[in-house]
Amino acid sequence: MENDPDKPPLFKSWSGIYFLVIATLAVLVLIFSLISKVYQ
Amino acid sequence: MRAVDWAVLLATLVLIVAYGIWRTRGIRSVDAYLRGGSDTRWLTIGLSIMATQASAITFLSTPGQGYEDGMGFVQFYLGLPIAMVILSATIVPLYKRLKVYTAYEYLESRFDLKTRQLTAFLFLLQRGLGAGISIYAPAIILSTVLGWPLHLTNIAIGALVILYTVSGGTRAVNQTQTYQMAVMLGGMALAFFFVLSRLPANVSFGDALGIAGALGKMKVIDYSTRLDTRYTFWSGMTGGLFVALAYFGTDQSQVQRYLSGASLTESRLGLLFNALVKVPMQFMILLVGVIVFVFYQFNPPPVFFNEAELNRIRSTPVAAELQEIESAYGRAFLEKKNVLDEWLSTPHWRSSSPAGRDLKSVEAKLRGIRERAKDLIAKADPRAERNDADYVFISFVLKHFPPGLVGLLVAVVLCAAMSATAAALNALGTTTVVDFYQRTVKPGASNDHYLLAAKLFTVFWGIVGVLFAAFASLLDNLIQAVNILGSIFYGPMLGVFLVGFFLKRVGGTPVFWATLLAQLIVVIVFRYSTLGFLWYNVIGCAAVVVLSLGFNLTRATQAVT
Repeated sequence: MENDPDKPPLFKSWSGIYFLVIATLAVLVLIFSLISKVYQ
Repeated sequence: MRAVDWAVLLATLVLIVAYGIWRTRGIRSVDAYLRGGSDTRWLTIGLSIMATQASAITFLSTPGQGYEDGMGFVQFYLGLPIAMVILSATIVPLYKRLKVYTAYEYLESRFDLKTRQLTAFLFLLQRGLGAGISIYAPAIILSTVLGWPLHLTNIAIGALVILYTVSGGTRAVNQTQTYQMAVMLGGMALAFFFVLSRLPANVSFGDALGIAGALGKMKVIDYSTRLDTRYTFWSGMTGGLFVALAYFGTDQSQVQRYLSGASLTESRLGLLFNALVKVPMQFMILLVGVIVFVFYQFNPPPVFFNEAELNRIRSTPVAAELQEIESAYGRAFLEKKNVLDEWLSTPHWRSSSPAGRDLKSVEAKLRGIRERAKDLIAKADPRAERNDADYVFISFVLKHFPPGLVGLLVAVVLCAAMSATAAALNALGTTTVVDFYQRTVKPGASNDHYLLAAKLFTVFWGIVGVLFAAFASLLDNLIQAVNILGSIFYGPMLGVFLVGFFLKRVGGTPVFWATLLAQLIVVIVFRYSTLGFLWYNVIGCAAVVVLSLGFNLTRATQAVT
């Protein structure tokens, strides 16, 4: 961390981790939509 | 509460506070006090951010919302992960580069002193009131259901928070919030599994969701475009995004959490941790409320969950009418139970089946009787609170949870109250010192002088919070009261920052007047329209941007002529 003060863990750049966050949100919305459809 | 509950409650609260004070003892520099010495790691930042947002209201009102309105409230949080990404990419690097103590310092470097202090003042106003509500909300509910004296409960919460916030500043707030968040998450997880275990043996988790769905509680996502519907996918992705951008980007109680990061990476990771965890956490808390609702399909619920209020009117002239309503409610409950048994016994149950339609019809009848009870309470005492949603979960906990778990759940509520209030007092004290006292009243004083001033201002805001809590009255649903209060101020505050980032030609004076006017517009919209409150954020923000451009153009035209 000290050598490269702004590099995220596990990813090459911040874009990768941002994509993970947005993709997780998309999956959650998909699951929520399915729950709404199945249980209505 | 039994002795074991008191032991769990007091041990949890006292150990966390004592450990927090001990871990952060001996702070001598203003930097360590206001910015936590800039050595906090991402997990502490992430938990601290979550604990700041998760007030007691979250754990009292959210299950109540799940019980009353179903899962739709989760949509309020859908814009949050996107906001975290935007802030992590833009504002966090900027704040870290400028090495600011408060978000509002940036506004002086971009605009001028008056714009900085106007925005800081809007923050002090809304967060000062918010701190009062975050003390009052759990105090009124716990004092009602447990018979604690209200003012003493207010003072006890306030005093405990003031003690460790003043003692250890930002570092103490971050440390204690980490443990408080662990108690909150652990307590709610236990509560979820316990509520599930109290369902009848022949009702599976899938059946429970099916029952909730048939009775309209499982509409998690609503894609309708009605502007007066409070929670839809679109209001969450726009209004929710704006409120999250404003809250996490411009509210010092949150900014202070990630400014304490050991590096830019730690600060960013703390925010992104919140982005990943927040939506599932809110979903689970709402689901607890929905499962409590299913539990009460098999066990008779009270006709009104604020039973202290109910008992009060038993000694008034409307007592006989109340008894008649309660009897009708009991009969309707038995009728529903029969319909439910029939509905569950059909092999492929659907809400559109004849039994499903009967279920909805008898549920509507029960709701109607509940409304009659609320009307009666309002008739007997016009000052009585008709909304009992905030009492649903705590009433369930006290009646059905085993000894020990009751104490833990009350500790969850008080931990949440303390963590949110501590972050607020910490931020209010910091903003008062950095943006007003040090900048305007007494510049150039010593480190010790500002350290003492920061502590005294924190005490001052703590006393203001307790006083406000003492005079506050219950507003609609508590969580909505807090969100509405935030939405009134956050739009214009976010607008100032957006103009600062993206409209480089706009100067201080146009944005200053635009902010004042935009704030007035939002207050008028709040007072005279039925628009969902999430839209206040969009209106306030857009008004600042458009008016700033307009005023800037007018100034430029006048300069040319």
